[in-house]
Amino acid sequence: MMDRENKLIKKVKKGDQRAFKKLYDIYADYSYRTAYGITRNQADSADIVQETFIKLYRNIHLFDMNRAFKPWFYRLLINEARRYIGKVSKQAISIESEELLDYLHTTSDGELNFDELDIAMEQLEENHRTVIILKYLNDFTEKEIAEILELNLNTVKSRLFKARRKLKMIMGGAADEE
Amino acid sequence: MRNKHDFDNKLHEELHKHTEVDSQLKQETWDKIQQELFRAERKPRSKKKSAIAALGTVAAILILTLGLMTNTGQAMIQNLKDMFVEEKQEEIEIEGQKEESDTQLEANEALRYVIYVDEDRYKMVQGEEVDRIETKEPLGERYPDVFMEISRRENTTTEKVLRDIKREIKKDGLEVARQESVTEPIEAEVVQGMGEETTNEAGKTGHQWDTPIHRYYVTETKENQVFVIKQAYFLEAEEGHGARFHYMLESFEIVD
Repeated sequence: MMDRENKLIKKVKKGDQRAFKKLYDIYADYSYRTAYGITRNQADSADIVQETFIKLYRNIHLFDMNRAFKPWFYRLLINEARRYIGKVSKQAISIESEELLDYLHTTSDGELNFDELDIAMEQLEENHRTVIILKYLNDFTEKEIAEILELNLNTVKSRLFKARRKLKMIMGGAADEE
Repeated sequence: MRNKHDFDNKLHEELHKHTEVDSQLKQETWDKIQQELFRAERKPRSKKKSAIAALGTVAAILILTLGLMTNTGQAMIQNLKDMFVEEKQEEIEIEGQKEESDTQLEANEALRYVIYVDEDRYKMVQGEEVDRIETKEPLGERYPDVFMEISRRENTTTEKVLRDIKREIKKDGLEVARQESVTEPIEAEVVQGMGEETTNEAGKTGHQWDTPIHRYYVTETKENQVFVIKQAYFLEAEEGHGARFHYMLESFEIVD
């Protein structure tokens, strides 16, 4: 698998558009999922994926073949998502936080429900949402997340802990875990 | 949510289930990437040609759009120049110094290969039997040959070609200095010939600054076709022309 991917990347480095399309096919799906997970917006995630692949193609000559491609690619993606979030004005949250908490606490039946999760994810700070997405959607290890985000491993652990705690708190599940 | 694992598992499951991507959206994004990237990189080379190039760009967009709209367009055998970007910027290292090199696509449709050439320094001369990349400005007579030649030999094998090359090296008055398998800059068998040691005017015996080096890369394709890339330079130019040939050869691609 890695050999195949390395061959593909070498071809992309040479400017081969067919190889670039194959690489897109491999990574597009999870790029969207990740960008959507971070931005919560389908149109924004399409723009982020588009820009990420354009940057990938233009900067592939800087990629060191002795290193793993996946973390390098996700670093591009996350940076692009962050750049995008910084660029667009923050969208107004339709429900006030207090009302939202009341709503979630009164409707929660103890099971994780996506609508609740969706709203709760939106309440997280971007850096907390990003670690949750990388861990639970992309299945990266904490060490890999540290590499992608260029953070200390302990910072990643701490962010994950806080993000999970906040998610549970918003969703009314904190008491169950303690 | 009874415990940590339940919560983690459900989080994992829900995030996967609810972030599924529409394949049409993926295709639309790819179309935008393709248009933005490949249309933008096919820019005119000089201002003088900008008007003609602008018309060409419009035509290229139309062809691209029509090509995307029809299955027939996609099924056609692609022209090599349409499959690779026209220009690329490479970061290379010459004598320990990093530099940016602008390279241009050269494609041989008959032999079905492409290579990116540093056209600030070299030019591609396509011949009947052999394509040759040579210095744009001729070197003085005191310098040995400097070039990179690409040829394809048919109905043969790597072994037979390697034997022929060794004979050729001896015929050129060089000695076979090395034979090895390499994966960089391309996967190939390499034979290197080098001029003999001599004694110069100062009485120093050994290889001199102008000792010629002929380096052959032999790579086999399907149907008993063998590509031979011959690099010729001299000892003092090993880290200059030799390194530049190496980087250009990295971009060499046979398209089956």
